[in-house]
Amino acid sequence: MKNSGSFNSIGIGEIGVVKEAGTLTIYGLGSCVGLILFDEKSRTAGMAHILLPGPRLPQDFTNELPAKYGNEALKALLKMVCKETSKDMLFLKAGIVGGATIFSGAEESAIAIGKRNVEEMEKQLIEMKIRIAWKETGGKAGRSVSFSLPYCELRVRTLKEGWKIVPQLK
Amino acid sequence: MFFKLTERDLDSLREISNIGAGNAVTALHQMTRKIIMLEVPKVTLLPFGEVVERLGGPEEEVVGLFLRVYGDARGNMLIAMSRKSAEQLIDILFPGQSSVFGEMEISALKEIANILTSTYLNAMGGIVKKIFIPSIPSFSIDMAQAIVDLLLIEIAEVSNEALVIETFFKSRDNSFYGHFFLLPDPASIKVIMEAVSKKE
Repeated sequence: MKNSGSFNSIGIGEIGVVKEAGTLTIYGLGSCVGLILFDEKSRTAGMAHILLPGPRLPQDFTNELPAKYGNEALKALLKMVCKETSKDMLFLKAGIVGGATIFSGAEESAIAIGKRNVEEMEKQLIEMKIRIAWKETGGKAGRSVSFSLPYCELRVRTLKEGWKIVPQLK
Repeated sequence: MFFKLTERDLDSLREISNIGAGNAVTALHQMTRKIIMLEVPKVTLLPFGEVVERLGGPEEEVVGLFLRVYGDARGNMLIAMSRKSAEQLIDILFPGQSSVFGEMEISALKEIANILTSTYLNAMGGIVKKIFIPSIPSFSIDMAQAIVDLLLIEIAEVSNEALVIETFFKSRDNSFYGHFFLLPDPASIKVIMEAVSKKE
């Protein structure tokens, strides 16, 4: 877990947080999902690198990665972002990136992982009443994602198209 | 991981993979008429983040041929190579094909992957008296981390580390090189280890 540096790369299952200035990045999301939370009031952003929607068994006792499972990642990420803010967080925005199908024709359950990851995160954000401000999901291409403060800019890179800014949803 | 693998276990895995990969590159040699060098397989328990480092980092452009292993033990297999290597390989095997990855080229690479992995798994299975069957390979060219994601899925549900059996091969004239990755499902590692110890 890394904190308020100028540049953080977040590995599988990990969470990163920056405050006021800095960049959070995940390189090469395939079926994995990058979840971004941004609190406008405290200018704090957090990013989680999620691998699976949830554990196959009710509980995975061996897990030490806070964001490995989507069903736990949002709470873990909220907690991390809250730590950085003294006030109540009222102006939260979220972003979801990734969940692509890299190998078409691979095993059915594996194909659905990307889609299931995205659905799980959407479901949780709706439950927590957090607005989805950025969404760049599905498709067939792997993506890198970065979120930078103070500009509050979400960028996505694919090998074909390079970096581009993801516009905020209305 | 469900149980601890000893140094000796890792040695045995290295040994049987070496035979598997050795047979696979023999097949590749017969197809390409190139002399191919094979490194000793690396058998390691890696945290997820590190698997991709073997391919030159998460954003490196990689051609991946992915397949599931079925039969007595299950797992994932990946043949990974650079775009240039894949193009060279197509050019050697099917001279005159274009170098873009069109339907023909992808189909050719899948066929190569099928031959190599079947040979690999057959040879390995032959030693430990088990049957390992490869699924139809699927193809992708993308960022290394995106390609590796799928390898980790089965394993991730029960572990934070992956048992990675990796073998690097390259043609002596440097026209192409690549990696075999074999990642047994955690539940299957025991099956393989038991079969290995019976053989000894």
